[in-house]
Amino acid sequence: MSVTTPRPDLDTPRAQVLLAIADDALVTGHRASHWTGVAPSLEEDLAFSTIAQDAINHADLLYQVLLGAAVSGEQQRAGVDAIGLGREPDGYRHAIVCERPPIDFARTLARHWITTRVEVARLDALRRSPDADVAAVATKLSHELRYHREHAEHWFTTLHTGGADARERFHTALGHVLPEALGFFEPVDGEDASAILPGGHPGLRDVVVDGAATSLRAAGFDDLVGLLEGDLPAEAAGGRRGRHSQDFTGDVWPEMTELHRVHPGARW
Amino acid sequence: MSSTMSPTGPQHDTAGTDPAREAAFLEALDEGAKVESGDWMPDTYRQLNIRFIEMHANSEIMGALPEREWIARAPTLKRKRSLAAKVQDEVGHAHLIYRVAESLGRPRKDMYDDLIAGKGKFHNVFHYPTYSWGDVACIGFLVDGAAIVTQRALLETSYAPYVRVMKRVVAEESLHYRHGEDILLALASGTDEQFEMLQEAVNRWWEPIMHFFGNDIAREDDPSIRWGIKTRTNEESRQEWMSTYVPKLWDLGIETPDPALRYDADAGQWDYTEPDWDRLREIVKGTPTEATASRLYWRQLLHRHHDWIHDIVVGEDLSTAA
Amino acid sequence: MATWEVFGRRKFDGPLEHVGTLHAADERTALLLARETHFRHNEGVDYGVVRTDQFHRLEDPTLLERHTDISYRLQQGYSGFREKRERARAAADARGADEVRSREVPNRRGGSA
Repeated sequence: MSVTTPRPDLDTPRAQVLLAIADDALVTGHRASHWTGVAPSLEEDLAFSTIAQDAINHADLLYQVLLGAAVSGEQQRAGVDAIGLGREPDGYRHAIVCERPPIDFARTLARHWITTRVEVARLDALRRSPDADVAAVATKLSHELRYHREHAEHWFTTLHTGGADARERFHTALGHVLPEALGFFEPVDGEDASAILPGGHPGLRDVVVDGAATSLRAAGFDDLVGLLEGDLPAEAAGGRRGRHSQDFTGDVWPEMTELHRVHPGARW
Repeated sequence: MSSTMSPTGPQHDTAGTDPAREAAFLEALDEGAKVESGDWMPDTYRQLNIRFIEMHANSEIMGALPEREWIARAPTLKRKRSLAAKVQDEVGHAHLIYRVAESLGRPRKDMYDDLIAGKGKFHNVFHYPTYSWGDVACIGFLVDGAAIVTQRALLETSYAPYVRVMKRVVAEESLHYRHGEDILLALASGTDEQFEMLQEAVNRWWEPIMHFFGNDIAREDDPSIRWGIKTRTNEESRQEWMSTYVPKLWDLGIETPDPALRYDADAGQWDYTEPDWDRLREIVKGTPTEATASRLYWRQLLHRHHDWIHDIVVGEDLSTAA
Repeated sequence: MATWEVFGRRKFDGPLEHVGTLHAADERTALLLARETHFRHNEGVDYGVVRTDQFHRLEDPTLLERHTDISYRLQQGYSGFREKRERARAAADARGADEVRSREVPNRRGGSA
């Protein structure tokens, strides 16, 4: 019994937008999963592992949308893995900020905070998508993201009020992460023509930056607000067009996709 | 009539050295009595339990690390998240079991710091490196299977908080058993390369698993049995594991590396080659293996880099409920 | 007067479950009275109390809802073992593993599915 792997056309504007959303989640989940077994407390270890699993799950569900409702069972699994693990590095559409290594927990939580805000804003927009399949999945994922958001916002407060040392470290971490996070708002090819994400990725910037700026000011991190209003650094640009850093091409991608690539057609 | 909960369990009468009370305590254990954290208990009982439970909790943490290495490399997205969930459960078990040891008076932080400093003891099977997805199958099915055999037996242990936690742990292990068998079956029915990766891993894991149960100690000479922690001898557990898992391997045409391994139907037990016990001592008490040294190195590094966050994460005001 | 939440265990290996509440001035009184308010029919082997205002609950229980498939975290997520074993046995036969497959083993029920 052999399974033919469905290979949908990934070059359409619709597919490219879905890939951007799914790849953000996949690479975020992959990086988040590095904390499993080594997080700063056992309780937090469990919490962050769930966030990693949810993100991988969300990517999976979006790849399923790409495959279409007609594809199910083992074919669907083969199709999901072919998309999730079977592309060349330049086929991935996630923002470069997602592929950066976790560094430490402050950096991780800083990225988690801004990424979750982007996810929330993007899912809000997707729920209004004229594409019914996309809107339905977005509604489902929005519910699940509530926990991520509570977790991220809780840590934001805990760290900025957690004493001078924690505050200073978190401030530094945000300083690294926020400029690169502007990569989330780069458009994918043909995005203007795609109606599935109302407003497109560039359209998310205002709502995310407004909300984040309010929180940053309330925390007394006024000096960081300018980073969100500035330019995306060149080294973090191009993710949506498939240009990735060594952190992806030399680290995430080879490790994540090796087994899939070395054993084509194998069932696991 | 009230005992107040504190981070390390109810406050209790700690002078556990009264010979008459000790004799009565042992007699009660023999009759199946259960011990709660606030109860009077002999020092020997307390110390043996702490050592045993601490090693169990350490093993859950150190057991998470070899499998964790494969979350990033899992061959499908489905396996990626199910392996992440499985390793998460191991960390969850450590979380539950450290609390049990804490209820006997040993703070979690001390146990954890000792473990990271390389001073904590943990099971031999978690000192080994992993090389392929075949290791994930072996750890998930055979090594976990060995753990399930010993953990089921702990449902009869005398320390009640430990029993309660083990009920939940054993329930989750049934899921892990299925998860492990599922991975093993996929490799056993896969390509030649996949089968080869499985067989090679089974060959490597055989001796560590034989070691895992410990050498054969007579029931009356095993202090863990005398003090009501364990109810079964090491050899009884090893035989049970062989009876459960060897038939499953053979049924799928997976070879076992011990040429002397056979089931003696007349005697109702397995014959096997005595493992090299010196090698076991070397693994658990000697110089750390390269795999353990490297895992602990990273653990220490991460721990040092996160000194600043520990108090914020855990808080100083711990609460308890054993 | 303070109210107290009472938690009890039916059996020594069971969970500490919420069994009810009572009014009492302090914890000693609450512990003393809980014996008859909640355990007079031999309902348990162990209990404790916590002041109601010291007990913190999840404000929004819908946060516990799951909206995507988490069956991979449950036993039900793993099924079809009979077919999977058959497939692996067929693969073993194709490899010529007859001798390994026919060895004597204890006579007992196997299988998890």
